[in-house]
Amino acid sequence: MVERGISRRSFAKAAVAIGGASALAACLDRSDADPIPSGPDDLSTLPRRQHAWNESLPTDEHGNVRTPAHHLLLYQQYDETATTGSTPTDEERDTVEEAFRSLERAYEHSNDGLLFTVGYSRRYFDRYDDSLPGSVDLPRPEALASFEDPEPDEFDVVVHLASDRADALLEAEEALRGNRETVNDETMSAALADVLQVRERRTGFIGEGMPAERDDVDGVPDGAVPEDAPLYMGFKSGFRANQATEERVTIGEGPFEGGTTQHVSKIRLHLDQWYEQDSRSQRVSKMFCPAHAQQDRVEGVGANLGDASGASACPAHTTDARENGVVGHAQKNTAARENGSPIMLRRDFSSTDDDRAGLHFLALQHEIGDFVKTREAMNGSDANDASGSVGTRHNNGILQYMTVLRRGNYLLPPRDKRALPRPG
Amino acid sequence: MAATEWLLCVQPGFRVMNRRTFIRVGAVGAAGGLAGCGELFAQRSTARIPPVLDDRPDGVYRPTHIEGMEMIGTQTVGDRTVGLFYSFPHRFWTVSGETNLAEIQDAQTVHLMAAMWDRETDTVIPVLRQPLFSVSQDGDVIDEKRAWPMLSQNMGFHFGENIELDGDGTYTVEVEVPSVDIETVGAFDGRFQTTHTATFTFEYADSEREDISFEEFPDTAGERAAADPMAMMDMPLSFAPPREELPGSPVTVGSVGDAKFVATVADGTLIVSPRTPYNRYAIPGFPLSATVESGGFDDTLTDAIGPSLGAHYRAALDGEPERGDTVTVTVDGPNSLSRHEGYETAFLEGGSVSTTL
Repeated sequence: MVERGISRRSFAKAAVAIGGASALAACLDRSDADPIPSGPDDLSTLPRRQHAWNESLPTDEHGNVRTPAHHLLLYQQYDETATTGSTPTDEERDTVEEAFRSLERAYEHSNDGLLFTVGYSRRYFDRYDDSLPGSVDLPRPEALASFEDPEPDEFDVVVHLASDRADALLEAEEALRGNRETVNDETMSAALADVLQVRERRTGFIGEGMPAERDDVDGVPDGAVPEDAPLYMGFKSGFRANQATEERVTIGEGPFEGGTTQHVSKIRLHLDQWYEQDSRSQRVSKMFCPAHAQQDRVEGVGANLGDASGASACPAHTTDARENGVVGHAQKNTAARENGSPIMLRRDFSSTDDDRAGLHFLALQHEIGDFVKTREAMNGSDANDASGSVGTRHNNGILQYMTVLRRGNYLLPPRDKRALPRPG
Repeated sequence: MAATEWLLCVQPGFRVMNRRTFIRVGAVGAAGGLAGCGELFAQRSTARIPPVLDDRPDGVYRPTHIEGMEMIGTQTVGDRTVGLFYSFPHRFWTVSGETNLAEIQDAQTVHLMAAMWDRETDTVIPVLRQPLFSVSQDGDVIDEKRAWPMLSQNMGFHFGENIELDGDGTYTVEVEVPSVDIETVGAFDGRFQTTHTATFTFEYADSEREDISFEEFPDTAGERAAADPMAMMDMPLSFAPPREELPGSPVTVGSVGDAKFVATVADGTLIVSPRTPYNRYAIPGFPLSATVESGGFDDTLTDAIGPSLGAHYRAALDGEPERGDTVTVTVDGPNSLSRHEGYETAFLEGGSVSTTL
């Protein structure tokens, strides 16, 4: 695209989506950039849980954690050409671990530096004779509704990198790919590329103004996304009271104690209808619940809601299905709690991948079964059954505006087992 | 930690070139400037649409105008036939708890409509399950939406949506034909369980669209009446059966929100068949419940479809009701179908009607 005459400034906006050395150069070529804070010399000060990000992230005045602005998912295969019996060697483990340690020394563990996790799929573990322990629930990905037909992601490894600094993210990516010997003045003592082959990259962003700045893709009308919305659909999400704690999603026993599971789905958005044919009030009904719309409970993108979506104050969704003929997304979600607490920690982000408006729904949970349970609640089939006016997708939360293209499940081991782990 | 650090790679308020425009211009090369002409035509044909009437009745009324449509083709996939049609872009109303006028957007070129019917009985399959319309040109998807389940006076039940084309040319439309997930009865029982895709390729020209009929009703618009159903040989319409053709001893229960409710009991099942006034289209999308006095039945009704009953609502009764029993049908909330003009103020009210069997 850059060769076709798009200005350097416009190009920089899409730098993370485009990736590579030229994108990085566009970011680095700025004299006014603040230095990126570096990481500790003593890496034992870092949390043992890979997913322990919240302590290193800022919060808003309501205590909601703000996830980093830029995100990158690097999907990789281990020894793709090998037949059965090929398992990682200790030397390869050292290489992978050294690559990650180099990044940790280079960047502060924060949104100003770099946060990352590495996850392994069921496909990865299946190359071993031993099975995963019973304490790890990691099924192969599959369709989670009768009305979806996603392609299962069968990559061995996914690295999720996040930062407020696009330059940090792109530099780290280039280093992992073996294209840079130093990152943030730190020497890379190894690269993942020596052991793993990158097969796919997916990117995204979350934060006030970022979707409106990136509305020049298909699937979202120009100028329609509110200027201060953090996500394409125009509302805040990730309210503190609606998020599981990092403790809740942590595996509590067995060889992967301190780890967690991660689900990532790639979702295409169809928001022309959302913004052009639904009224603001209908959008509030579908995102939250009809009562939120009728009582004007949501101002703007919903910052006034504080630290909770307030959906627990909505009537039962099956009641609204009958009396209002529409049910809300957040309203359905309240059914997916355990002892009154959320079971899933969302770290999702919007995307312009494929030049289409999209969402990478990344969620952490103690076991993939918790994600499946939540997904079942969000399918809203009980609302569909309860009322002839709520369809499979029609007036059933925001299902009309989404197509799930891919699903993948991963185990995020504790940090000390993050390099090509054995199943036991 | 500075909250605005991400601005490093973001230039607020700066738009050099629209990424989407860029891709399309790139695809058609020097002819890119022609796209603007298509939009001008679209504006011209929508400019003649009369304004929405100021004083509309709370019920079915004759619209200000009716537009004809052009058939793109029919495709049979699995056990269903799909007919695809287009017309001028339409204004219509969506209903999600409340009603909203979906105005025509400047770039929208056509209203694309799909009708789906059973290939064996040639009867319409009226369900809320929305098909994805995916429109592409030269292999690039240019518009993709889940079509609304809709009701119009001349076409009855269909799936429709306004679509943005890039002027004259060859287009491919993939219409998803989703599996049916509501109760199916009679010859529909257990069928339509597989999802298919029907693919249509057609030549579009603005000039041909302009030839589609456009009829205004300046003297009768707003009257409690309806425009006539169209007669199109190749496409069945979604009529409800005349009352006397229902099984058992059917009765007219009454009207709520201008929908007329007919009920009957057959083989221990209460069947409720709502229909539009004047045109007798069956109406899916209602939340209904009912009571039958003697049997003590008091519950919600299940939405169902069948080849002779069309869209209807039903429940199994414990016992056969007696002659003279009171049956009450309750509309619990607004009907959720999207509406073309003349239907948008109807089928929204809740309420009960009763009669004796």
